[in-house]
Amino acid sequence: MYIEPAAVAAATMLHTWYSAMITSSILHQLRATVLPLIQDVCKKIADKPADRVLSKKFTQGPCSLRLVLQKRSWVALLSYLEVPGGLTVEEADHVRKTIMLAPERKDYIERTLFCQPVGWREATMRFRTDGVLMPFGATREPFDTPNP
Amino acid sequence: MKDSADPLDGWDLDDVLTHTKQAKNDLYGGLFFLLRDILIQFCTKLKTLKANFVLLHTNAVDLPDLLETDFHLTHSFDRIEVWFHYLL
Repeated sequence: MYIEPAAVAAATMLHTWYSAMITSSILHQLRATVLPLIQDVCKKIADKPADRVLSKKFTQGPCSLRLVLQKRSWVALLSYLEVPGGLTVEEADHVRKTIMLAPERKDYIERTLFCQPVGWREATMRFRTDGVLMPFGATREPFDTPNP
Repeated sequence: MKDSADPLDGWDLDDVLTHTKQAKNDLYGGLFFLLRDILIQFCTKLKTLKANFVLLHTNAVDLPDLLETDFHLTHSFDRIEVWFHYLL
């Protein structure tokens, strides 16, 4: 709702949802548009109990979004827009690969690949390795920020 | 999140495959282009669409009561997304 133009909003949504790494501009967009809205709500509900259900309606043009959450969830939302202190993209990538390419999962991965047409296997392993939803040949260089 | 979680889950594979470009076997590229098209259409439509979205984050068991008692909500819904939380 708040990010323009539509192509940029679409890329922001797509990578926030599906990619392990995002571009620094995507994080910047989210922190410039969504974060202040959440911070504003959290400031107003600071003295409420953690399990109180609170709602806030956001309006943009003819469209509105009403978010109904417990206070603890509103506060948690703030952390979803913050890269954990000091976490570099290399460290995040290492943690991710430890899980996604774990030797204990070799059988599971190879059973999955076996059931696929041969042509799909490279794409499957590429996504399993780098976690970025982009066309196979597209550069991953701009994806320099861990997805918080 | 489980390592078996896959962005292809929940999307029609035929739709994904019709959106691949030159590299016909680029599954995730096809998904990228499919989602990009859908999201651009959605974001463009939002500018003129008179729509009111309400997002809840509640136990499905509590949903009927919440819909009943919250005076801002209608007594109907369009979609329920269910997640399982494992307690360790």
